[in-house]
Amino acid sequence: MSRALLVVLALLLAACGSAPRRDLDYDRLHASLDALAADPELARLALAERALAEAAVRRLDASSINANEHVQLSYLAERRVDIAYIAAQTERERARLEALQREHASLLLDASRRETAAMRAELDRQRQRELLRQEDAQRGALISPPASVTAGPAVAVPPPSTAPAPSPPPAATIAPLTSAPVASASDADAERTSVPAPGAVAPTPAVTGATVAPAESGASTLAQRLAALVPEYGADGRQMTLEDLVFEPGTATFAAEAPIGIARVAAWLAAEPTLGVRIAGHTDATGSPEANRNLSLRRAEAVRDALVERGVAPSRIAVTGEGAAVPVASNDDAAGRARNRRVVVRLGGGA
Amino acid sequence: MAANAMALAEEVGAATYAPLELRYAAEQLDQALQVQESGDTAQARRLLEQSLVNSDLAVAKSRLGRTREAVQVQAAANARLRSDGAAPADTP
Repeated sequence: MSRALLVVLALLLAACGSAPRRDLDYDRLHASLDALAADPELARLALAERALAEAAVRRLDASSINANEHVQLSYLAERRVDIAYIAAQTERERARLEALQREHASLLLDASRRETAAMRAELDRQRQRELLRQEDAQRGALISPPASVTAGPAVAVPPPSTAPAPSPPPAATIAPLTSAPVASASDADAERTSVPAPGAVAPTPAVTGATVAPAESGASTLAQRLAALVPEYGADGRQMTLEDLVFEPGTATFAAEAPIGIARVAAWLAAEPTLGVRIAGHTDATGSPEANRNLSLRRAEAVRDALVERGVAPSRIAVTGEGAAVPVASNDDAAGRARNRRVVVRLGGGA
Repeated sequence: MAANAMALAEEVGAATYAPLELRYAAEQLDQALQVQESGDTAQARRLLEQSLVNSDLAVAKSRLGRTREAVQVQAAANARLRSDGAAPADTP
C-alpha cells in the first residue's frame, strides 16, 4: 500500500516537473514578434529595433523566478515590441515618401518640358508674325509705284460726290477714289497712261501700282495703304484688291486696320449699284490645296459680309475661293507669296 | 541616459506626436531621482529603465507621425502637379 502511494507521489512530482510553464505575457509578445517577422511588408524593415525587442522578450522568458523583475521586464518588452512595429512602419513610410519625391521630380521635369514647349511654340508664333511683317515691308517696297503712275490726272469714276469717304484712319492719307485708273470717256490719254490693256506685258494687279498708292515711301503702313486703295483694271474688268495683311495670319479674321479698306471698297461699289460683284479669295501655294481653298473662301465670305454690313446688297455678290490656283506672282519667295495672298473684289460679276 | 533619451524625444516633436509617452518618461525620470535620493537604487534603476523605454517609444512614434505627414504633403503636391499636367494646354 505504502509502495503504491509512493509511486503515485512520484508520478505526480514527475508530472509537475515536465508541465510547460505558461507565461501569458511572454506568449503574447513572442507571438507578436512572430507576426512581425511574418509580415510581408514589415519583415525586412527595422531589424535593429526588432532585435532589441526579441532580446527583451527573451529576458522576460528567463525572469519567471522574481515576480517584480518579471513585471518590469514585461513592461520593457512590451514597449520594445511596440517600438519594433512602429520603426518598421516608419521605414515603410519613408520608402513611400522617397517614391513620391522621385515622382515629384519626374512631374516637375514634365511640367518644365511642357513649359519649354509652350514657350518655344510662342516664340515660333512670334517669329512667324515677324516674318509676315517683314514680307509685308518687302512687298511694300516692291510695289511702291513711281509717283507719276499714281498721280494720273483727271480720272473720275466714280465721282467724288457719290463715294462717301470711309472713316479716316489714324495717320493715314486717304487717296480719293477718283485717282483710280478707271478712265472717263473724256480722258483716254490718261487711261492709256495708267491702265494697261488686257494682255499687256506687266499688268499684274499688285505691280500696276493701282491697288496700293503709298507714293512717298515703300514702307507705308497697312492703314496708309488701305486708305489709298483705289480701283484698277484686271483681266476681268474693274477690281479692287485687299492684301493678305487685312486678315490675321492663317485666318479669315480681319485685322484692326481692315475696316479702312472695306470702307473704300464699299464706297466704290456704292457708286455702281446696278452691277454685280464677284469676290474671289486667293492664297499662296503653301499648305494643302484643300486648306487653301477653304481659307480663301472664308476670307472672301468675310469680305462679303463686311460689305453687306456697309449697305451693299447681298444679292449682287458672288464669292469664290480660288486657293492657290490663280497666282499673280511666284510662290518661290516671300514677296511673291505675299502678293498671291489676297481678296479681289470685281465689278460686273455677281450672284 | 534616460534624460538624454527624453531630450531627444522632445527634440523630434514628441510633445505633438506622443504626448502620453513623453509624460510617462518625464514622470518616471522624476520618480527615479526621488527614489534614488531615498536610497532605493533597485527601484530607481527600474524607473530609469521605464523612462528610457518610454522616451524611445515617444521618439519612434514622433518619427512615424512626421513621416506620415510628409507623405501626405508630398502626395497632395504630386496630385496637384498631375492635375496641372492633365489640364488642356492653351490653344494658340
